[in-house]
Amino acid sequence: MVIQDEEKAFRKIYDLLSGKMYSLCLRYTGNTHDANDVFQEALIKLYSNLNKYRGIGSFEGWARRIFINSCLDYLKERQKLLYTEQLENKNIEVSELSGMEKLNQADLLKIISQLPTGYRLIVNLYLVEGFSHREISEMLGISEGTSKSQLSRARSILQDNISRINE
Amino acid sequence: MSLKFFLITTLFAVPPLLGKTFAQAPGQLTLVYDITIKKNKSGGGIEETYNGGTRTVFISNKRARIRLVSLMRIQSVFFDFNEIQERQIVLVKESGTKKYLYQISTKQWKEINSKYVGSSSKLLNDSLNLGGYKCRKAIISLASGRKITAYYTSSFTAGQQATLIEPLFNCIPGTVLQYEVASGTGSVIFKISEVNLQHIAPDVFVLPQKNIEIRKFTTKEAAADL
Amino acid sequence: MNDNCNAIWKQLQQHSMQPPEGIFDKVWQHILQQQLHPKNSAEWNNDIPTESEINERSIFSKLQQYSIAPPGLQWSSNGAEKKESPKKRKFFYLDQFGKAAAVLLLAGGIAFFWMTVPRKKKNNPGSQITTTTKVSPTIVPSSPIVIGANDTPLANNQIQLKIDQKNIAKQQDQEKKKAVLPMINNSVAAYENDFLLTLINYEDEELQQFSTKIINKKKIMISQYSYINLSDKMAQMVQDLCSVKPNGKPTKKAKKTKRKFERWKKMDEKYFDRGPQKNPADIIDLSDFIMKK
Repeated sequence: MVIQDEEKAFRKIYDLLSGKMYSLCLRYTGNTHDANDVFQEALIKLYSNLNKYRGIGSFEGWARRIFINSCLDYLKERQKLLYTEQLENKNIEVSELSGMEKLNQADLLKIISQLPTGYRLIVNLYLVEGFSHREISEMLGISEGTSKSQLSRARSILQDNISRINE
Repeated sequence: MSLKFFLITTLFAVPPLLGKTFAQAPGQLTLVYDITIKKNKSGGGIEETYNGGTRTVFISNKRARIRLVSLMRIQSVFFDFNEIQERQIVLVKESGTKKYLYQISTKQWKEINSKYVGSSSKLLNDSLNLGGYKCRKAIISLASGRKITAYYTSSFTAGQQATLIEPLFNCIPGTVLQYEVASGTGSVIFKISEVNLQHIAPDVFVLPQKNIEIRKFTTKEAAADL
Repeated sequence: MNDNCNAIWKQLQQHSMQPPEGIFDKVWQHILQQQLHPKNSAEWNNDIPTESEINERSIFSKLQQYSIAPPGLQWSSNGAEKKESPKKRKFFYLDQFGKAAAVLLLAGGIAFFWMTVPRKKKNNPGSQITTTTKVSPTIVPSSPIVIGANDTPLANNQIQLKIDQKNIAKQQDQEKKKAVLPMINNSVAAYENDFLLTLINYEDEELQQFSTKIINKKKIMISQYSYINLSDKMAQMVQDLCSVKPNGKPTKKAKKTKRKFERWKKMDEKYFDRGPQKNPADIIDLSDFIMKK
């Protein structure tokens, strides 16, 4: 009986958050296979840590953090076994992206998914989630300078993709 | 009046349509096809050793690779368009006790794929959503009379080199995301499970060399070149 | 970056996408299992012991069998012991020598472990991190290959294991073979990169272990973009291959399945290995091969 109640309660949380969190997982991993895996892992972590929610800030924000951390852990683990990043040679530093107003959400998600993993992480963490470079450096184990340069390079690739879509 | 109207409409309608047909090729493209084989005869047969496998196409600027992974074998074809020399295609058997590779020239590759010369396609209105892309149906008819049912998207193309990599699809105005060969005995379907435009690691295009026997392949035309 | 652009990016936080069907039920089942059987949570995380840990355990677990009679115990008071284990009698009468023998054997076991098992882990006594280096199984006759989780060439991923085990007692050899074929983050070890050959060449517990893994997972991940989904029919055939009689020997069905796989392998090699003209990655060639067999 207790287990049934717990299941109902967790299902309510699931119904409330699953859409956004699954979208988040897709944004970070860039493909449905990894997104499915990490989504399930993160759900289990969410359930396991429910008693740790202190009521500070929104529940969604707290859950979002769990999903983000799960994505980062998943990708870090994968990076050891998967390919290494090859940074593109981009001399142009784009400080502000132009042409974004013409894009819809689906287009934005598409151009994010087209980024290499490292750049995709920075774009998600900095531009979408709003973390600072300092916070990102702690989360990814890189320096602030690296976070900034990665973002700068990511922007130049994003700009190319935005321009391509807008043509 | 009606003829004028038709002409004016066509003049304005055609360019946008043309623009949509010749979609841009992404710099990096990974297509993962799931292999499904159905045989009409019940009971697990040899088809189960390929059933469930994947056929992955990697295209990255000047390089490409088609990799087949199955219980029966793992095999790849590497394409290197950077190479100035003639032999720029390599077929590698990556599994088994006797692994081997063949270095093939473009001419030989075309000869191997001569069954696709003279093929034509009929584009139909039927559509299907595959891998997140809306795809239209096409029936490819080979010169031999065999038919292949394909679903393709015009959202992106596989690039200029696609004609060499996938000669079967030369008559299709887009990228094929599903194709099927059916006969009285059963069917073989390659269906897209993932389209990925992410950067492809350079390692993907590195040829395996250790414990691989280099075999020679000569065809009648190729022999004349030597 | 202007406020408008910031808002556009931030809006993506609210983007929602329906996850695939059945995920909640799957997750809930796992949560229930975790609650009921906490130890099994290692399975989900693929927390498989490394080969060196497995070897360690196989040696030290033998100590479970060593018995030393406590001082002052009359063995004849327990008739069952007399009947079951004549060796214990020796321990009783040779008490002092028995202790010395046990210590010597223990020392020998430790020495054997240090000499034969390669040390891959860093010198970190507090660490419980499972190594992510690829581990290949001890398989006879040829050295196996672990298919790494990327599409890199075979050469870079091969780890050759020593198969020079002539000096090792049969029992230890068998026990070592028990714990091979680990799956590390969905990477699977296969004989010569060939799954069908693996099924044909593995025996006994190696085969059981490999088969159980692939049947349970139903999906063999080679890399992010290459995998094999095991069909129901193939899963059944693999189960048939592993079927054993009460005496532990393969059943007729198992032998028949093995012969079938061997026959298929030969057919495939005959058709596709003559040259590059026939390529199973080509749908026409594959269809011709499958439909005519």
